[in-house]
Amino acid sequence: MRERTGRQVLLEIVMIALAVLFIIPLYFVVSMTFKTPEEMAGFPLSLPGSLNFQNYADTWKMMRFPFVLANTLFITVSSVFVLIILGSLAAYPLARKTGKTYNFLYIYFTAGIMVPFQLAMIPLYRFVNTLHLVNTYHGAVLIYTAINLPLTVFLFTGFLKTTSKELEEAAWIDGCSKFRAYWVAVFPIIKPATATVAVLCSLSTWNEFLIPLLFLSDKSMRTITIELYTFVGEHVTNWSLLFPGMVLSVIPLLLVYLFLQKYIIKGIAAGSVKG
Amino acid sequence: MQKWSLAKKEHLVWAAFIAPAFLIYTIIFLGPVITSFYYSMTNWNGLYKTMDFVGLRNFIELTSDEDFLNALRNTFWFTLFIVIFQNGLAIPLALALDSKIKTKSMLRAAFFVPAILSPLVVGYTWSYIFQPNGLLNVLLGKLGLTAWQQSWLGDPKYALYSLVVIVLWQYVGYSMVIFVANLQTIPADYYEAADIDGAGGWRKFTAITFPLMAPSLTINVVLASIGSLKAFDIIYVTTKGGPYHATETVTTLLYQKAFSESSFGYGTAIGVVMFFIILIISFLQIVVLRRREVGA
Repeated sequence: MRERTGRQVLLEIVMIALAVLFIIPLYFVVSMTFKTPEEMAGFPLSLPGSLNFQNYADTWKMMRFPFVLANTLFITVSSVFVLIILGSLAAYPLARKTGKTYNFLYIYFTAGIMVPFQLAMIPLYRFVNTLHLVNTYHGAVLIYTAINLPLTVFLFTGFLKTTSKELEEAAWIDGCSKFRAYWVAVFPIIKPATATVAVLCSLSTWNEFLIPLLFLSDKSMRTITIELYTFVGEHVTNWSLLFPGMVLSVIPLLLVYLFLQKYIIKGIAAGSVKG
Repeated sequence: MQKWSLAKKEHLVWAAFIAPAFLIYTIIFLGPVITSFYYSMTNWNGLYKTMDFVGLRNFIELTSDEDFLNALRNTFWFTLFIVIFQNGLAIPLALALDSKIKTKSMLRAAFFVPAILSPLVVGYTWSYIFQPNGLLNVLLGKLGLTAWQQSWLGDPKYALYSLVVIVLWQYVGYSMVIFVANLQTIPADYYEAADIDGAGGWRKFTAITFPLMAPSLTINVVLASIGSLKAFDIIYVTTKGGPYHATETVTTLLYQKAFSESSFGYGTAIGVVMFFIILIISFLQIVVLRRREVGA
């Protein structure tokens, strides 16, 4: 027994060492944000001499940080909200009903998981342009909803198949309409799937690059990723502004991750193991 | 008669549940995809209103297009390396972090962090680390390994491998989390029974753990394959397909053809080929790996 504990302690030390090595790139970026130009030229892993927030203050202003943050947050939250409502509504009959049409529709929706977005990109750009939806919030929400629907329908249908019909049937007997029964008896019990969808789709929408590059490039519509991309393009050699820009763009997600870490990891694991 | 109309009415209600998602998905995503199949058979350049139907000419041209064949080769190696190493590294990591060590949840969180970052931030960070005078070369210099210093992303010999390293760093924790979730479903009695039979650690892994990890292996292999085949952001922000097309993949070539060279017809033909590649690979993997799951 004692020998086993010894081995475990050794394993633990090795794993901690590996983890430290693993997150060195993150330490490196954060430490660079506080360094003076002279310190930046020195040994890259040294600690900064003092916590100098001037770089952050400059970048905050130049990146219009509060504005792009609000923009990204608004687009992400609205898209995920629409996705959860429409995706779970569609998944409900697909999970409960059998029959050719329902099977076909299930395959129709989930086939989209394998379609690379780039295949839709060119006609979509043209189409969205004709409808004057480029650089609009509702255009962005529609696009994010459409491309995330396959995974959303897949996850909700998979989860709904494991739930029992008793509650909703009781609600029907009580005279509830199908919509009302769905809302009071089904939607509350699929919370785990809702959490998984929320986590996966928020992450991908928040971090999306190609879609906002094509559809939200206007200065008044930029998301964090596009503002950072443009910013890097404009200040390509000025690393004292770039590093804080990167850290600022990551902080909101990192905060959410720190608080919801358990649920995020669980959500991802549940989502994939169910599939 | 009345029963029939009741059933019909019920179908109408269900149709109302499905309709909003169906319409958005069809109009915004699948419609454009189908239109792409048509464009891939034209010579449309995106500027003029006119285009000619050219049948399969774009596809025939692709078979002898050296740029496309090069992109196809790069995509193949990039995907293969990522699938092998991402799973090969994530499995031992998951085993170590599923054991009884005290800090395991903290450690899991640490290995998972890169997965929540945008490919943009990851790409910039590693571009700086891989620079000729960047972190990696400085560290190699300190260790006296000056002969190993390279222009990691700037040398065609190393660029694709460096890119693989970046992707592995970002997603190894993601695969690990999925493996851990699977490991937690393996009943402890199996191991107790093996202990009684006197099985050693390696024997337990090959006889119990690995076969029972089949479901998560299927998912991780399929996710890593589709992810690498579709990868675009990380390549676009680090190398843009260079140097000398050394990291040009099907996605970056497609973007280049469509948006920089305005060959929309030709670009969509590349997209169509890519779609079939993803379809065939995911299908084969699911069939082969699912069979293993049932066998296990």
